[in-house]
Amino acid sequence: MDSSLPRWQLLPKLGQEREGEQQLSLRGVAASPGIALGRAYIVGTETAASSGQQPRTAEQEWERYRWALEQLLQELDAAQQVAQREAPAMASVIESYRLMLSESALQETVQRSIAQGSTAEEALRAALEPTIYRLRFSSDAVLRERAVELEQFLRQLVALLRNRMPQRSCARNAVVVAHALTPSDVVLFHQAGAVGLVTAVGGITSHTAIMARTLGMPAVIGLRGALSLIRAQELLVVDGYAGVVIVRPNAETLARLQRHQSRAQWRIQLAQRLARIPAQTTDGYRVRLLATVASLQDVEDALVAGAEGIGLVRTELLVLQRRGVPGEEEQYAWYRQLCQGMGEAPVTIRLFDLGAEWREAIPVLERNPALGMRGIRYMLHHPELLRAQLRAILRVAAEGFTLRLLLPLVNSAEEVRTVRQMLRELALELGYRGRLPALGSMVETPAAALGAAKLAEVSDFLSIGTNDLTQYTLAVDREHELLAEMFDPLHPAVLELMYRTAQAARAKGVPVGVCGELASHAAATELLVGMGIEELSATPGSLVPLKQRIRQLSRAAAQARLERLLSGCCSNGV
Amino acid sequence: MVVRLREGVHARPAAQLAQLASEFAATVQLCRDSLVVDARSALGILSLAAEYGAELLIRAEGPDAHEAVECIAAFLQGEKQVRRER
Repeated sequence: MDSSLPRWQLLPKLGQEREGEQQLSLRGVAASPGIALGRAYIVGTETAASSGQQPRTAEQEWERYRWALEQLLQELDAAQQVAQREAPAMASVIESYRLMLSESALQETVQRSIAQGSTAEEALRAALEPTIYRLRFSSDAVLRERAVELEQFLRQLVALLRNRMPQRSCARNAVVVAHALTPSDVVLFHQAGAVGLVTAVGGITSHTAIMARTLGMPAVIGLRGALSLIRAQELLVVDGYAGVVIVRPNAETLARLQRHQSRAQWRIQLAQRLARIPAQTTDGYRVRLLATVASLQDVEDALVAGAEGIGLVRTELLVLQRRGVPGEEEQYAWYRQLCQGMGEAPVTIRLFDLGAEWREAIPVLERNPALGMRGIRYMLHHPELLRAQLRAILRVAAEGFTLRLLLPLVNSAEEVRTVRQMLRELALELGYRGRLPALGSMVETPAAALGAAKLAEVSDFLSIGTNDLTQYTLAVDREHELLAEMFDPLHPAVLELMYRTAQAARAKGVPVGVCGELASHAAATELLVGMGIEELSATPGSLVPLKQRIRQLSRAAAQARLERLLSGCCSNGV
Repeated sequence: MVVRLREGVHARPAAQLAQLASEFAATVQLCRDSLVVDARSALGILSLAAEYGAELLIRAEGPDAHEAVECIAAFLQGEKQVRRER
């Protein structure tokens, strides 16, 4: 198999026929990075309407219910204790569900139904389903996720009523495959030694996804048909980077996996050796490899991996972690620490990209936050925030560190000019001497890509953000679980826009880079090199394989390949 | 009043709100359109499916009703330090 093929050609489509016992690749949503290999442990999902058993008295039904609830609450207690140790931020989520399921209002409702002749199952459903239904039809994605979780608790209670205890111990070294999982499930399966997760429903904002990420457990979620396509005990590879599950991997896949794992083991040694070697193609084309970071820990990893600088500091994570926008002093201290870690190498600070995840300060209701007040628009709308951030950056730059500034979600040259003007004024105010930090624009919308020549005139560098560019070009929400297959950063239309951006930047003599998921995607490296991209920014962990890959490529061949691909696509009318 | 909690009233805020409401002697109800729920029930609150920007009505009856309404409104406005003064 040619691993340099674009991703959409590499992977068979979901729902492909099962051919004998051949390997099968299924595509879901990448929820937690990492690769896991294990046998499938299927979590039962029966939700049959009525148990069809002999009638019991109301007292017996009530006893059954109390027993089942008690079991579940004990589980939640256990999960919460583990979470407290290993994922403290998530412990309160489990606690919330524990409170919710033990509250007296629920017990009274169930008791009333049972007294009126319902079975325990019927009473439970009657009590919980109205809430589940209302959440399921909410306009809000986060609330819809809660419907999935609550429904999963209901399933567990019904299973317990039938004396089916969750067999977590069987999940040792296994990949857990379920319709859905509650956050407590994830913790307890992790505790029991499960190595990966696959669920049929759920999105990236689900607690399942967050919990798996916190625990470092590879997970693919929203894989429709997981339960019909995967059978118990089948060998699975969970690729939590790509959102792919390979069922019954063949010898070739297993060998590749083994290579991947042994590579991971001596990656650090290799990195130390590779750190001093440039990322250069066989015909001498040099690519600058930079790291995308969100924390000081990432900076350490970036150094180990031999990053030539920081291509993107995801400053908005600082905002999300402390649940508020930090002031100038706090930002100054944080940026300074990042720069100290990197020494002389450049550090690129992206201005706060506050938007969908940070809506507290937006006074109007946004039906469509991705198209709303975010990126540089938000910052220009809040000049006091912009000023504080620019001042913090200038103060660090004044100490001699090499800082670059990156503007998120730029649509027009005007936005860049405004920020540059503000930067000049603040420099004067601070008595800043020396060269101003380089000012770069992110190319994340079709408008920015098509207007790249204009942006290049007012920017010191351009950086293509592939995640948003894909989302805005294809009009596909990148977190939409049902559209995961359509979110393709290698779609010809996206490639075309990237290619045009690169050409426009090169014509103006402005460096152009790529950051985002695609930069770390091995299959895409050749295409990016072919476009003449000069900088790639990826997570520290993917830098070494990226460098190895670049060193095997030839720029001339990559360019020819890209042009063939683009012209082929255009004649097909894409 | 309008919900200003960033992620809407999902699991954690619902549980916190229920706890807050049960500290008052007054009976407190939350209403969204035609649905009325007891503010002491986290499950009930969750069933309001109140996303960011949703409009809710707070109704309280009892000795400390006024205080209860203010306290719960503050919570839904996203004020972090909501605590009952004793």
